Amino acid sequence: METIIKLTGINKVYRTEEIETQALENVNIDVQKGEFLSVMGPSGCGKSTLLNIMGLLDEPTSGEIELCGTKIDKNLSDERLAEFRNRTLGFVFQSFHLISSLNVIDNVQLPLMYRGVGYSERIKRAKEVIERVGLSHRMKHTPVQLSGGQCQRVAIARAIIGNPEIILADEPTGNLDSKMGADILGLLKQLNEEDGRTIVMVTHNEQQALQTKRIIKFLDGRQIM
Amino acid sequence: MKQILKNLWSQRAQNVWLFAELVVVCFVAWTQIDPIVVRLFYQNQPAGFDIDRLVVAEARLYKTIWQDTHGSIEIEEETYDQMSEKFTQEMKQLKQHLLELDEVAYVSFLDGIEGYPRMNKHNWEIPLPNDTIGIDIPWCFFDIEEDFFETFGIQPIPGSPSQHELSMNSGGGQNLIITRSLAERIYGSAEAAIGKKLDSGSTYGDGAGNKYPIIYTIQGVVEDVAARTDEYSTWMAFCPNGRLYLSDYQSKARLVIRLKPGVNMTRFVEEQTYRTGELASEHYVICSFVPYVDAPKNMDFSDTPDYNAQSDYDFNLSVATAIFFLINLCLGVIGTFWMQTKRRTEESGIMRAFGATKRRIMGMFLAEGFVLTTLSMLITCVLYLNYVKTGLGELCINPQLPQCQPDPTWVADKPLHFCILAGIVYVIICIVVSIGIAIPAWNIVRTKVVEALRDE
Repeated sequence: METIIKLTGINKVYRTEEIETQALENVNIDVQKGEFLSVMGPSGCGKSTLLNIMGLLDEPTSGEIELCGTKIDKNLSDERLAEFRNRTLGFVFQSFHLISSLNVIDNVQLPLMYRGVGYSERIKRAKEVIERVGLSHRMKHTPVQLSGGQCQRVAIARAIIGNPEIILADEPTGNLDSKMGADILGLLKQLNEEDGRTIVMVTHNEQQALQTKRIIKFLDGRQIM
Repeated sequence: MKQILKNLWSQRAQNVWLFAELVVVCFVAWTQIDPIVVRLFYQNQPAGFDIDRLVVAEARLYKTIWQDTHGSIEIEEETYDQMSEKFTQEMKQLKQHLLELDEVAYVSFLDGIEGYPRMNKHNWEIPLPNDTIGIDIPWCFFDIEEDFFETFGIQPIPGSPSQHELSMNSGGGQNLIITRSLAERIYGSAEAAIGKKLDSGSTYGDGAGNKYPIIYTIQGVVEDVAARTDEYSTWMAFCPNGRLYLSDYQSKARLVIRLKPGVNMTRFVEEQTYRTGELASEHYVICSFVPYVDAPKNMDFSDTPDYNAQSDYDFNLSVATAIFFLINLCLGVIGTFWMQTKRRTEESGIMRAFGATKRRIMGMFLAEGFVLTTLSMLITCVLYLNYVKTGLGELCINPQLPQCQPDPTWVADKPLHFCILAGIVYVIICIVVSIGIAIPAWNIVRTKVVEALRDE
């Protein structure tokens, strides 16, 4: 099996003038290609911090990150980092993080726009993925006109439009009721099983975590399982 | 571009207010900037004479020799003519003192500032030969035998008497020196004007009830000279004074100093200002030195009744008003765009999470601002055109009357004037909008993506 995410000795310390908080302590994780991994733990244990570091949205205080065989240097330029996020990673956030002023199709096509794909090609591919997540009848709607589950589907469509190797989902069902949550999880499982995408999902829902291929548990910034 | 227009349209609820604010700001800025731009343009036009190294020295009466009551002079023992003669001698003494300074090349008197180049326009209408209309000519009186043309550096055209001959002016008050463009207007060519007679349209009486026309002889033609700082005018006539008149001076007197080439005028003014009080005649002492270009602003000419101080006052007032308005408007625009951009922190985080670079986000925010500014400017152009056409306002153009010299610059060309001012206002507003966007945008793109995403 090919290791697609390799975290070695990751530490993350948040410092303020008064206190120092160790969010992650000596975390070592290997994620194999095609794996569906869930990261569990109570609130504040460092799950989201870990996901942000994996997704190059945050920097570790120390430690090494390797994604798709590329060592992520701290001095990597903004352009290179942006390109890496664009081509290799897809994010699904708990609070969706859709741009409220843009409609569904414009939100979904964003990653392709930053990749320089032409307008007509972007729209074509956006329609395909929106159809895949079952929202073809909502293409012209803005996020405020959609339910939470629909927003999360849009977010998933946006995450997969660029065919990234890795999808990082930060509590994707956290803001949804159980039925919608199950739908979204089903969609993620489908992406993993049918497309072979590697998915790392942060959750504190044990039932959902049990449906993934592997579970990592965290407590107080340390990996305990 | 399509994406930018889409973004603007999708945020139309906020952008409509920004747009309205920009239209108002562009419009007000235009009304304020127009007169200043025109004035500054004229100020930076060639003066037509050597205005560098030209300094005005002001002398004040320090020992009472006559009573000055509300502008009239009560003379006790000496006659008026004797007093004038005495005054002339005192001025010549001061001139001699100044000429003894190593830095000084020439010194001339400044009778008030009536009609002096680049100071104050004093128009006089004369009839055109063989024509029914008259023309308005800025008129300057100078004291003969006092190096006027050498001091000012006004250049005679080829074929005209030299600067020294023009300053000596053997013809007394019957000679006139005119500028090239005025000579061309009256006589068709500058060279042809020399030696010609010009009827002033005025008469003088002989005391017995007889009136005779005042006819001047064109003694020489000089290169064009700007009469005022806020106008384009190259017509000018120089008329010699036979002698200094006491009534022109009262408690103050002024001399114009031409410094030698290579002399640093600023240093000279500083050094001489420090030494003021050392240069004195029997009753006058030189108390201040000011560069000629700054004299209308920095010297009090209220003692000279013909001086039109209103011009500088108006300009200073309009500059102060414009600065006040512009600062407030610009701060308003910057503040609005600043807040608007700051609110897009989360959006910036989302864009970066999906592969947008900092530069791209900055560029997008700025481009949106420019598009909004451009659209606002187009609307402002339509409104301003309407404002000018309906007579509610006007472009800052001096009236182009047939008796006045035509202004060949862009200022008098209405379409060009409109376009240039629109361009200037557009550039200023673009800069203001850029500041309002670029600084907060730079701050938000530098924020870590995770922190930007937390901003809701």
